[in-house]
Formats: sequence, structure tokens, C-alpha cells
Amino acid sequence: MFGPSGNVFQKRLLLFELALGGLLLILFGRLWFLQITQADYYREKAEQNRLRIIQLPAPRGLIMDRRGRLLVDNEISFSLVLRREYMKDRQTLLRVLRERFGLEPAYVNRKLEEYRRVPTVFPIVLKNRLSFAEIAFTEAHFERFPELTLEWVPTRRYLLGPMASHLNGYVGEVTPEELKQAAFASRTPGDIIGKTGLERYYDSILDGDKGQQKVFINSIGQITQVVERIPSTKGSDLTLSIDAELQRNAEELMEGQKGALVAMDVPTGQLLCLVSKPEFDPNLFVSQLSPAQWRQLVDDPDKPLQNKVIQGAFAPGSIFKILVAVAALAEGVIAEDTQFICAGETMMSGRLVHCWNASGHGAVSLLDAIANSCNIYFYNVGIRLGIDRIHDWAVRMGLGVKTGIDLPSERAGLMPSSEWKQRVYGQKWYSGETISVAIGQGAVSVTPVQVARFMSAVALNAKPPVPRLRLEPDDRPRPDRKPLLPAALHQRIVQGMQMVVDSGTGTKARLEGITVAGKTGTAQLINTETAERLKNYEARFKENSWFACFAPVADPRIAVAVIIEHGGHGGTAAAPIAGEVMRKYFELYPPGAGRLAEARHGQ
Amino acid sequence: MGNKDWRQFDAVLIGAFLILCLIGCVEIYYSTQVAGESPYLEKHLLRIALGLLVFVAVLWVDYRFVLNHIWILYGLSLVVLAVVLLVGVEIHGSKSWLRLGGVTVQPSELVKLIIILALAKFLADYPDRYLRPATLLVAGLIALVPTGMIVLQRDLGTALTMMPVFIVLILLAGIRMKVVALAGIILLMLLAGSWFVLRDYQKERILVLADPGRDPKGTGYQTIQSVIAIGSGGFTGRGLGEGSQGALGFLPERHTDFIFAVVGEETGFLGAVLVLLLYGVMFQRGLAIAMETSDRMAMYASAGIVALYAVHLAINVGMTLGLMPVIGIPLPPLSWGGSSVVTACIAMGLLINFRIHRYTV
Repeated sequence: MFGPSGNVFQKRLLLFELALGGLLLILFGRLWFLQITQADYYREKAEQNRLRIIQLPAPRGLIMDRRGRLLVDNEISFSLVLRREYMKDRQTLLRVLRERFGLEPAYVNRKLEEYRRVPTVFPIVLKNRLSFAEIAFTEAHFERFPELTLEWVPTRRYLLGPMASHLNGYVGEVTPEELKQAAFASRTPGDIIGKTGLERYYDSILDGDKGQQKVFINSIGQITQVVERIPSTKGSDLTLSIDAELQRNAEELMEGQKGALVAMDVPTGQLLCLVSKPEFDPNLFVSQLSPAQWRQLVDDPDKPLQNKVIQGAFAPGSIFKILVAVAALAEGVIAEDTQFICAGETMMSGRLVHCWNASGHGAVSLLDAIANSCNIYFYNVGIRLGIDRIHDWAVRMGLGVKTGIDLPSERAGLMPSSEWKQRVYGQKWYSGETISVAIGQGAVSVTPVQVARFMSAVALNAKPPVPRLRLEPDDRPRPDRKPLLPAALHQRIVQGMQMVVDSGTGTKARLEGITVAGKTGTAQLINTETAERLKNYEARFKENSWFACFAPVADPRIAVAVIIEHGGHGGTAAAPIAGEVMRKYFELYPPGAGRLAEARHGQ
Repeated sequence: MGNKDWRQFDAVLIGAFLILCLIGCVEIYYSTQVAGESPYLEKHLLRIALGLLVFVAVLWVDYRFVLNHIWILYGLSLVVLAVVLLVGVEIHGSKSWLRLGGVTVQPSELVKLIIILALAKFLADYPDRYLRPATLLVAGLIALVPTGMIVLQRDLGTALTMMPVFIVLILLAGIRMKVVALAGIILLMLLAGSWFVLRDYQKERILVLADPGRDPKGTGYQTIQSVIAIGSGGFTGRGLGEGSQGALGFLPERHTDFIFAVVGEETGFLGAVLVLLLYGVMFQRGLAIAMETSDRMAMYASAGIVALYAVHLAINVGMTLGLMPVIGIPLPPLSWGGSSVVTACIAMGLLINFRIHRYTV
């Protein structure tokens, strides 16, 4: 044999063998490091790997009316939950979500985008209230789609459906923006919070304490062992001052209308019913609202999502005359027997102004002026008072300022003053503007709940109570009430308002056997001259119809404010509805049966 | 053929091999208990049985007969690889599988053995003290052509194992230092150049090695989980079927490429070292055969076979220990995979074959 001798190969093979020995030594060394030196560290890592903490959602507190009738409760349903840590093929997932669950890829992608910065251990709820078919599909395809799982969740059920929707509000998943707010600081992504209405205002009461479950899981997320379980605690219940029957009745009365209605317990300020039309169905928000449905709700010109009782700012129209009357008597610019002549029109502050009654009311007293809603009388009174005294009294009686009701996003409306005009427009106030404000037109705007509260103030001859929806166990009329007007003068105002219902513009609110004091309002949306030019003007320019009242006169119990948008005259559109609400109220709480505060434990 | 000396049958080599097969079976059984996975053990036992049959068959043919006709086999290999390229089935991103009836086979596994045999035959025919450049070039081509076709199947792992094997055989055949230096430079340049050719996921695997936290959900995930599994095994392991990483399925590919991590987790340092020692015994026996044979072909072939499985061990175990990038190659005969198990049996058969024919002509 030629070439290299066998010895050479022996040497080379030996070197190779040594190299292999070296390789094994390296591997031994690494094993020693991992398994002997670092064993405890990796053992703990392995434990963490399989230990998961699962949040157990807490049912929210129930909402009941003053007699304990359920308005909002919870039902247990299945939700579809996406666990991103197990997500593999996004395209297939999107397709299945669309085909099987009716979820648009755009919606799912948006959700994923929202959760981009949220750790993947937080699951995403994609759909609530799954159907049986959807539940079955999810169960059956667990292996193909380990990222899709079912979760038992208590979901909100609004038993009245669209009724009282503005009152209750609705719940939804906390958004990244909301998480930054102090009110939701303790929340975590995916939490359900109150978004509007009472759900929002009393969120901290209704919200329960989440429970927790420590479990061992396998790599596809199946629970292999429950280590520890802390059950969730239901949120506290909320009892409202609302009477469900009265509410239902009021909803029916307002059916098909646009506007708002609110009734208040005069001594305490407790609200008895609260209606805003058009309404929406809060149950829609519980299952997933499609973007199209949402747009439709938001873009609706009739603003179904707006709670007009606290967010609708309307010109008060002639209802404001009551305030002007109170202010004038209190400030002494008129006496109870002061008269003005109404000739149907007159020159004031350099321009011709009209009464609604073109032929004039003749010599008008305060009583007549209220009963017949004479404009000329209040123009004169308004000029004597001046805008700033009107402003101060309006604020004192709760008009054009927030009432402090226990609902979120209340609007103040607007009560103008010379200071306001200077501040906003940099101009001085003109007395011609005072004339408009004196009859509840011009810049002044109020919310229906302010009007109801104002009625309570008139009824009590005192500063009005703060409207409340939550029934407090110790809600008693506060004793220290300084009268706004001397009793005799107050008596005159009430007398005028009683005449409105007995023989004046508001006779349609009359009740059998119970004296009602009220005031109509017909608030123009465009000025008279324009209106006359548009002879048969469109419905959207038609006046808003107001009626505000309280009863019984001798011992005021209920105050009601109704506005029907574009309803025309206050006496024809709004007054009958207010009358029906009071009739129902006295049917439920007869005048002789003691005060309302004691009546709530009946039934 | 009555030229076999059965007394030369290396029971230690085959014993070590069979123990490894057994350990593989046990760990495959325990690592596939996660809900929803079908029983793998049965299939694996069938493959081992088939492998042992082939092993016996390989013993029967004199290796010299095979090696003298190796170019036919080599040619056939190229044809099969071409067929795979045309009608192959894609599994885990590699189009290196053929579907034959109900089973899928990975011809590249067997081709690796054939390359080694072809190189052995070729090098044995040029017995210079140092390889001439021309010889080196031809040897390189013999290895490169089929390996290149395997690369085209996007089976980088399998192809990659051939390079060290080739280097071992060349070094064994003898090469001048200046050629080594030159080759080293060329290799470095190739490595640098390959960075631009590598697919993104392949680059990612290399980068992740330096920093597994870089991509804890993707490539790094496998390494992290594997290292956790092995580390948590400690000295004596967590017990068979008790390893949470493997049994609960956090460890990906746990019955195939990451089987060693399951061994480490469930049987601890003791079990892992035992496995490495068994491989060590096999390598030692294989090299002993190379040293004791008087036939150059057999010497090259057995050294090549040892090199092949040493590379598998280094890459695979290195990967599970977080020392190597994630390269998808199995650890035969421990891990799941029919073609690699059967190929390993053939390789064992060849080693024994060299030995029982060592004193006969």
C-alpha cells in the first residue's frame, strides 16, 4: 500500500475522537450549569409558565325602582373570548369570525389594535350573548382555534328595554382613554364599566369586586388544576326614587313624540319618572353594537342617545314669566296689584313689540298676566327689573345652572347677564334683549329638569332641592327653608298659576278633585317676523311646547315638566301629558295617604 | 456469502444504540400525552422494528459490493432528490418529503449516508498523503451536488449537517495547512456572504441565539422553553411524565427536535448525561471500527458516519441547551421521525458490516 501509512490515519482518528470528547465535555458543562447551578431558577420559571391567574368578573348591582321592582339585572351568558397568546393564523381566524360569528374583520382588527399595548395575557371579549350554535362551534373547534374560548360572564339585562334607557344608561368595555381617567384608575382592560346614565354615575357602587382563580394550565390554555379560587362579589344594588309604573305610563304618553318629561317629588327633589324621546335600546350595547348601528344612533338628528331631561337646552318660553313675576315681587318693582295696559302691541326700547294676543288683553293685573300669559305685562316688568336681577333670581331658583342631579354629563343651559354678554361678546347688554328674556326667549335656555326643579321652588316658596334619582333611606324634607317671598305675595303667584289650569292657557292639565298650578310655554325657534313670512313653515321651525306644574296647590307633592319639541302651543301638546302623569301619580299615591317618603315600603 | 465473522459483531455499539432507542420510546410516550394528540409511541415502535429489519438486511450484503457500486446509488440519489424537488410534499416549510402510499419519507436522510459512502469510496481511491487540489475539488463536488439539491428543498438543517462531515473526511484524508488556511478564509467569506442569502426567519434564529428575549413568542420561545425545561429538571429530573414543560406542551416539537429537552426535564442531569454517554460509547465504538479496519473505504465510511451523528448531536443538543441556533434537525435514534430512525439503523448496519468483514477479502 502506498500513500500515507496506517499510523497517520490512526493519529488523525485519535484527534477526531478527542474532538468528540471535547464536544461531550462542553455539553456536560452546559448541563451542569443549567441543571445543577441554575436548577432552582428554572424550576420557578417552569412553575410560572403553567400558573395563570384568571379574573372572575363580578355581577354588577341590581337597579330597582322605589318599590323594589327590578329595572336592571344580570343574566349569565357565554361570551366569545380571544386569547392572543394562542393566536396563530390571523387570516383564518378573521374568516371564521366573520362566517361563524358575524364579526367583521374591520371590527376584530380594531379590537386587536386597541389591545396592542395591553399584555397578551388579557383576553379580548369579542362577542357577548353567544347563540347555541356559536357556543357549540367554539367548543367543537377548540383544537383548531385554541385562541377562541368561551367565558361565563354576567351580562346586563335592561328589563324595560328602551324604557328608562336614558336614566339607566348602558355599560360597555372600558376604553384605553377611560383607563387614564382617575375614576377608572383601578380598572383593567376588558372591564365592563358604566358608560352613561346611572350606570356611569353610580359605577363605583354598582361595580362588584372581581374574583380570582389561580390555575395550572397546559400550553393550549386548558385548565389542568385549580389551585385557588376567590369568588367575585356582586356590586351593591341601587334603589331609585323612580316609580316603574309611573315611568311606564309616562313613556307611553310620550310615545312617538320628541321631547322630554320629568316628574319630581316636591319636598325631597326625588325624581319619580324621567323620559327622553326618542329612546334607544340599551340591550343593544350589551351584545355587540355594529359600527353601522352605532353610526345610526349617533347621526340620528333626533339624538336618541341624548338625555334631553338633563342635556337638552331649550328656550323656556312663557314658563319663564313665573320667574320674572317672583323676582319682580321680591325686588319690589311691582306690587301685587300693579297693572299694565296690553293693546296687543307697543313700542318698547325703540321697537314695536307684540303680545301673542293681537287684539290685546286690556288692563292686565299680575294674576291675569300669568293666567293669560300676557307678553306686554312681562315686557314692562322685565324692563323694570333689568337683566341682572332676572339673572340672579333665575340662578337662585335653579334656571340656567346645573341642578347637581346624580347623572353624568348634565348641561347648564344658559342664563344671560350683562356680565355674560360683556365676557362672551365684549358688548354691553341692551334693554331690548331684556324684553326677549322676560318672556323666556332670546339667549336664555334651560333643561327640563331645571324647570321641574324650578316648579318645586315655586311650590315650596324656597330654594329648590337638588334632584335625586338614588333613594336615600334618610331622604326627608329639609326643615330650614327660608321663604323666597312673603307668604301673601307667594300666594298671588300660585293663584295665577292655578288660574292657568282652571281657566287659562293650561286647562288640559286639569285634574278631578285636585288643584293644579301650572304654566304653559310656547317657545319660538325663529322670530315672529320670519315665522309670518314662512306662512306654512316647516315642522322643524314649529314652536316647542312646554308645560310645567305642581300639585296639589295646598300641599305640593309632585312637580312635572314636559317639553314636546315642535309641539306647537304648550296648552295643547304638553299640558294634557302633564295632566295624565299627575293623574296616574295620584292614583298610585292618593293625596290622603301620607307623604311619598313613607309610601315607598308599600307593596 | 460465507465470509462473515460473526464474532466481530459489536454488541456494545448496538447495545448503546438500542438503549437510546428505548429511551426515545419512553420520552416520546410521555411527551405526547397532552390532550388531543394521538398516540405516537406505536408508530415509533413500528419504525424501529422496520429499522431493525433493514439493519439485519444490511448485514447480509458485503459492504464492498455496495461501495463498488456506490456511483449507481449516488446517481439514483440525485434522481430521487430531483423527483422530490418536483413533486415533494412540504412539511414545516421544507419541501423535502415524498408521499409513497400512506407514508411520507424524507429521502435526504438516506442521501446523507450515500454521500458519505461515495466520499469514502472516492477518497480511498486517491491515497495520497495530502489531497491534491483537484481531488479536493472533485470530493467537494461529490458532496455539494446532492447537498445543494437538499438546500433547494429548503431543508437547510439537513444540508448543514453535511458540511462538518465533509470537513472531517477531508481532514482525515490529509490536507496541507495552507489549503486549510485558504479553505478557512473561503469558508468565512461564504458565511459572511450567506447572511445576505439567508431568509429572514433563518437570520432571526441566529440572532435570537444571542438574545432569546428578542422574540419570546417566536424563535426565541422554543429556546427559552427548552432551556427552562432542561434547567427545571435539576439533578434527578421531575419524574417521567411529570415535567410540566413537556407534558403540558409548553415545549414545542417536544417529541421530535426537542426530545432531549424532555429527557433533561424528566430525568434530570443523570438522564441527560446517560444519553450523552451512550452517544459517546457509540462514537467510540464507531471510531474503533475505523481504526481497526484495514480497508480505507471502511475507515472513511465509519468515520463519516460517526461524524454525521456527532454533528446531529452537537447541533440538536446544542440547540436544546441554548448553545446553537434553532436548526430543525432530529436526534436519531432518540427522536420521532421515521426516515431518520431507519437511516440510523442502516448506519449501524454498515458499521457492523465493516466489522464482520474486516478479516475477509
